[in-house]
Amino acid sequence: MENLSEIALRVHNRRATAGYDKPLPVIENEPYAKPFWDGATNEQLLFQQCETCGEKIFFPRPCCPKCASEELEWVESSGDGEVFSYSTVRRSVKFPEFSDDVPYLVGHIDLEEGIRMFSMIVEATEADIQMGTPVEVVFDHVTDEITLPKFSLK
Amino acid sequence: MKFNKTVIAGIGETEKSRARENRGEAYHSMEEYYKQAAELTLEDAGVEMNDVDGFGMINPTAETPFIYPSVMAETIGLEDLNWIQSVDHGGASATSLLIQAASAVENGVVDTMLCLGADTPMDPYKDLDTLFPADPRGFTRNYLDPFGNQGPNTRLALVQRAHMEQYGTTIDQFGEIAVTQREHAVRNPLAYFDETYDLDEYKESPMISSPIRMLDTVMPVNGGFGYLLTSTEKAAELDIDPVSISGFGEHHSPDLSAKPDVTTTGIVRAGQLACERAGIEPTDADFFQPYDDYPSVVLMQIEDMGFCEKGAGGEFVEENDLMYDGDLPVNTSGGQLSVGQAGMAGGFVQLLEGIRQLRGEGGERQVPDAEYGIVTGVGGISYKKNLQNNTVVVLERGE
Repeated sequence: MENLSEIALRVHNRRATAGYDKPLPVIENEPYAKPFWDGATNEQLLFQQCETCGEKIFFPRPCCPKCASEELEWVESSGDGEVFSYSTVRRSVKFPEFSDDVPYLVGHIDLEEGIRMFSMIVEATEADIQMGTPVEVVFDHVTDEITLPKFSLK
Repeated sequence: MKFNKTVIAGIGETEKSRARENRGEAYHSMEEYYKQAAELTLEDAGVEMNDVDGFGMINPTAETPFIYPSVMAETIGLEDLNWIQSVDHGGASATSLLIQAASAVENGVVDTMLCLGADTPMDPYKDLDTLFPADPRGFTRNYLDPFGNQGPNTRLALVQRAHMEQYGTTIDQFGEIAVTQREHAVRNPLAYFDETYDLDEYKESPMISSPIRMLDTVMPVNGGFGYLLTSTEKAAELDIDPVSISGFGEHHSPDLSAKPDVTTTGIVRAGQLACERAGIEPTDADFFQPYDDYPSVVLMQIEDMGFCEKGAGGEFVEENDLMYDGDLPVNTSGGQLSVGQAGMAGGFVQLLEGIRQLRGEGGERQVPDAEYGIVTGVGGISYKKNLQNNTVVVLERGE
């Protein structure tokens, strides 16, 4: 089993290779989440829906958190939603890799299908938004393997 | 449901340090903090190390060896134990450990249980960015951090903003909590921060993750804490001021939905359970010691405990005096916002202050005639909804 410093080294090496130094997801050991990340690479925003109870699910899961069913289907979101809450990050206290981006805007986005996700709101400032401001997904292809769904003003 | 055969017989709390040696601040290892906390607690109760037959501790943030609770018990000199337990509920650890340990004493599994918590988030021998290593995998790692999350500050910034937009709560109202707690801290010799500030200074402190400013955040400190539980039978042989646990409630994983209500905590259910079991109303309590990693978390708990309607917390803190001698004394120690946050041991600040007040040892911040008090713990900020773990304890003076 890898210890934490080995994992950190592996992640660091991968980042260095990719030329992208910000935190990346570790997706190898979450095979059930692969469609989400593959979808993002193909510029589709996918989420799971339980075929047994109908629950809409974000983030990707191995089973339905409501009814424990493993029968989950992938549904494509329109990518349209609205801002539920937002914050301008001015100090990169945990991940200094973001220090060149400061100040940047993040928020909870409520997608029209009924799920909420945390993401970055790009090319906007706090003055442009409030609770309920419409946004749409944009795909940021940060490495060959990873695309991050972010949001911009609609 | 009350713990009738169990009492809190002793407490211990060390000095806090930010371990900046160029400022003359001492660095002690985690093991030294545990040892100090154990000595202070045993001395306070008048109990010998070899009278302890059960040991409990919280899981710290700092990286630890395997089977750490057993290693720690051996390190500080506990032998022939019949029970070892640890709790991993984040900020709710100190209070949840109390409930679990009291259950063991109440059922006669052990007679005398030493419970400790320490953490060393300030470590001059580690790089700052490795002090809190990123999660190896899972929700925070994959669905928060790549998108610009900067730890709890960002998480609670979104909660505070939502509360402001949903209920019209103002920055001044959150500030009222921070300023009042600091007024308490200057009356607490064990608080790290001992200079008061006013509302204007609060509002001028540097913005971290809007609307959260520097004075909304807890500063990491190193420190150790402990409490000792024993049977009423054993307590009768000790020269102590006992405090009892009249009620308790826990609520975990409070909202699984795809769009969870982030401005309501699991304290709603945990608080109802605790008060029902104690047979009191929240307003019967002489003080409230809510877990405080941010003023917004205090404000939400004032609402969720039922001191006012949901959303009316802002008005409540404006219209009521939260000082030790006021309408509802809140965080009379200064809370973690002013005492400092010793990592995962932070919740001990609230719990030990509650016990101290009921023993009449509040010094310059003593709540007059304190008989009942409510203490909370909340933890799990960085998973799914926020605040996955919620504990409420009703403490009572005497047996």
